[in-house]
Amino acid sequence: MRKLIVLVYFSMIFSTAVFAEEEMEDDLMQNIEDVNKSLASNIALQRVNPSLEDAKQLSSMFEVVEAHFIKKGDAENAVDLSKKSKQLSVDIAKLVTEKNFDTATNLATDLSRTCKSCHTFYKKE
Amino acid sequence: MTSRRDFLVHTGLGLGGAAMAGFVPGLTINSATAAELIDPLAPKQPHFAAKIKSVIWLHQDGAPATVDLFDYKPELVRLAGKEVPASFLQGIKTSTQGGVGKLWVSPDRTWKQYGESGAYFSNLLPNLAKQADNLTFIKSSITVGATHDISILKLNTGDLNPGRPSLGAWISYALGSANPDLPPYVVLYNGKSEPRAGSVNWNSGFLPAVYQGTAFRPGDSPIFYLSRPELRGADQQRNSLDLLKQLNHAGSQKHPSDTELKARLRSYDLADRMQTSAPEAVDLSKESDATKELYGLNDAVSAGYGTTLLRARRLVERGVRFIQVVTGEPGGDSGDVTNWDAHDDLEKNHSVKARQVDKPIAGLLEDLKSRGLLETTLVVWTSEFSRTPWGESGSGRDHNPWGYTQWLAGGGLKPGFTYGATDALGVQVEDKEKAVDTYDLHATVLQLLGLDHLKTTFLNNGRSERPTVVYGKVIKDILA
Repeated sequence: MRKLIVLVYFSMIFSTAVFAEEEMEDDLMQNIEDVNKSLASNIALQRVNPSLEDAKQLSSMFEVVEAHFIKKGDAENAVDLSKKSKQLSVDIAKLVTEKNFDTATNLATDLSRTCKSCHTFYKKE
Repeated sequence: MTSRRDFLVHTGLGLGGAAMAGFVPGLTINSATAAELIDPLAPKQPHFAAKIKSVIWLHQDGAPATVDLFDYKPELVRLAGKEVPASFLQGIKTSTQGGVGKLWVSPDRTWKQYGESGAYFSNLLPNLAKQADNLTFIKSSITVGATHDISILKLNTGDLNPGRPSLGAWISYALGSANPDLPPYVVLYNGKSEPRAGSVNWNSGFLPAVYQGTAFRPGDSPIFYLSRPELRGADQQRNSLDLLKQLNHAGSQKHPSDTELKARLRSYDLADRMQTSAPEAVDLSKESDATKELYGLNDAVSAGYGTTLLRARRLVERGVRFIQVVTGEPGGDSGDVTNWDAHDDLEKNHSVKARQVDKPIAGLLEDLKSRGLLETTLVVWTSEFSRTPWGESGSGRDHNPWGYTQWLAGGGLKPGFTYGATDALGVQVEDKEKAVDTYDLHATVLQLLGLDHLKTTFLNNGRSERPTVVYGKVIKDILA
């Protein structure tokens, strides 16, 4: 009986941890989407500092996404897309610093499309 | 002597205009002037030279199977009756009721090539086939969503949730009206009821309400209560309306930032003029019998839809910028067929629906061309998604958002050209780099109207919004 209780206890802990990890992934994706929209707006409004802040946030978040898919395994596409997204975020930050907002807008649109490409394969319904 | 209240109101109006100018960089239109706050539909210059003046957006409600209309797939014919090879389903999530069925082809389907372009058309579209060399196909269309209402919303507004402006509303906002006596954005439909997906698909969203679409009802009187009641004399009505106009405009000066009020006033002024202009625009009595036959008005099945397309042509002639036409029920002996959504008995469904639209659309293209209007008009055949090559319920097809065909015709395009393709069975887009989402179609339509989708912006609650959300790519390969 005691062994059964311990087994049930650890099963609950394990499933909570798994659920928490999945939940974190959903929150992370939502944050990325929100910050991405904020970035597009700030670039359109030619706000340098807020755009930089958004681009840096995205770059950090895409690092987390990349690490997640590396750990998950069998997700080379997603790893590549995460790397591409991170690089685009870095490039956008540079362009915004140079006040090249037109090119930054184009790259931001590329970034959004890159997100979409990854969702095609990996987004849970 | 100016009162303190008047001084504060007028100063606020000027300051508000100046503030708006600072908040809308890159928008070359003069949206920030006080004059435009008074008339938000004043004509505005595009970002660069436009190739077209009007758009006729032909939404095929219910999602026709383009593998039965424009996409000849010999491999599908060869493998009909067999399971879908697993390789074709990689990367997509299907949700067909009962599971993915066997590949299906109608025994009545035949295909031929037409025109110099050699475009394939099925036996369902004999009239439109003759227009092959006027059409520009996008055979790598994609979208999101497996339910009609959500995907129709995305098709028209770019979002899966209500709240964003429709494409026509953005165009009204960015270009204003070319005819002060008609709305710049009109919605047409045939049948007994409004399009089922609702007015959220021609809404202005967060844009000022004045930019929303105006639905013209089928029938002689396109708008409710447009005609003067018999008991009122013309002079009596004129005097009342003039007094009302003066009072309304005096009142609106006290609420300079209220866009709903401005829209209402603008609509009253417009309604006054539309009492004559709207019925005249949709009055087909002066059209020749030959023209009416060209649009299929002599066939009960196609008469309703043909009437809307003939009205669309007349609205183009009168400077309406965006005409959103939604297919309604076919008329005549069409049984229980309402829209293109053929989950079963596709042959019956598509035979009726194709008969409803084939002659009218071909007639519209022919008529526009003969009047020299096709060069400055864009006609778009579009749908919320298409249908799977595998069968459903034995003789139907399920929804397919992963790869399908739309087409455009008119100014600024390469006629007789095809962009992109689906795979050998018509499941998904073959080359994902050529996938054309709804945002890309919107960006391209705006481009042809002389608008850069990245620079057509509106400040909503501190955030800069654009028609293509955060996406959108102009399909340059199809542009002349």
